[in-house]
Amino acid sequence: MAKMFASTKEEGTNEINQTIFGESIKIEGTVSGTNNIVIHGDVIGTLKTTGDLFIKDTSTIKANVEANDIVLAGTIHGNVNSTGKLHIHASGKIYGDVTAANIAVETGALIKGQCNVGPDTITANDSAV
Amino acid sequence: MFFYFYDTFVTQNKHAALLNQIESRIIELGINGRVEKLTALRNMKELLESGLKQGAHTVVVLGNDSTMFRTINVLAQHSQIALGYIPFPDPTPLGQWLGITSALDGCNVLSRRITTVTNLAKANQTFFLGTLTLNEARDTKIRCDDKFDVTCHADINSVIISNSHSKSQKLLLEIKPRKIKTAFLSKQNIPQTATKILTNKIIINHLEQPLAVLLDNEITLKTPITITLKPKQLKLIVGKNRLIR
Repeated sequence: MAKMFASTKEEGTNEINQTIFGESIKIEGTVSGTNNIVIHGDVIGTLKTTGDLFIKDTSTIKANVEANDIVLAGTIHGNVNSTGKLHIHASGKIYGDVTAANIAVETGALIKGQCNVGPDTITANDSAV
Repeated sequence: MFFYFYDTFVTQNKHAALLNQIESRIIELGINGRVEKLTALRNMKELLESGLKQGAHTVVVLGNDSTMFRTINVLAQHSQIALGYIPFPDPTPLGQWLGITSALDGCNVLSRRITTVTNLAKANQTFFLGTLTLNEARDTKIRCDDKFDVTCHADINSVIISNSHSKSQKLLLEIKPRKIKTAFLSKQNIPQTATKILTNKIIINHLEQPLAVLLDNEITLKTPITITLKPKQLKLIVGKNRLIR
């Protein structure tokens, strides 16, 4: 049986500071917001946040992605736009164009698309979310 | 005027001593008022609404959590009325959440009259205070804010939607996965991540047949269900040690 009410003051708030999509769900549609987003599952559609985005290695994204900092360990099929830093882990794969103010790419990561990196590229592309 | 509302079981002989103690304490504290007793022949909604028409500013429930949830569904339309609770005969989870440790403590809490205004969640036409639970979530489609759909796979344990009692003024959707046992590591579980989404509106639908959902562990509804949040909809009288924010 689910717990109806919090038994401590800490439990009594649902003031979460990040949205989490687990492995056991699939998201379809437009996800937009201001929170940080952590993705373990699959997303199809559009993904935009003014916060940071963490894409885990279990995740496959078929969407254009816009966020502040992006940490990628999974796979993105779509264009990626980071107003902050894009960090691609060794397991990370991007099939699409990349625009980012800063980038860090680990050995073994894959990018198949155009890559525009530098502070100027963000203003040029007007990446406001 | 205080309007005391007794559930049917409160007047049973076995509870007579406790009821006498409560009524004496209420008189001592000078917070006595009109008393109405629910019976099999008297409709709760009509009783409460007749009390409100006669000028009740505070409704006090003598009963259990189930009595409170049914009362909330009537009082949700009257957000200016304060709702007090005397959990009877034993302490209840809702009572403890409101900072009321016993029936007699409920009288003291009433006399101090600390109030808090809280949000109510609404599932179709039914209000709930705590959670909506869906235990069989396979192939369930959950639409959030009319923007995106969440499809649940087979390994979902439960879907819980919590009423917000925080500053965010949003519903919290939690999708909890089952622990998966592997053939190679049969004694170990692969940890799966729970989904947590804050949202304003949720629509639950099943791809094939209607599913039962449980509101506050008391009321059952069938899908499709639309859930929204009604901010500052209920004025509750609470104790000093309340857990509600």
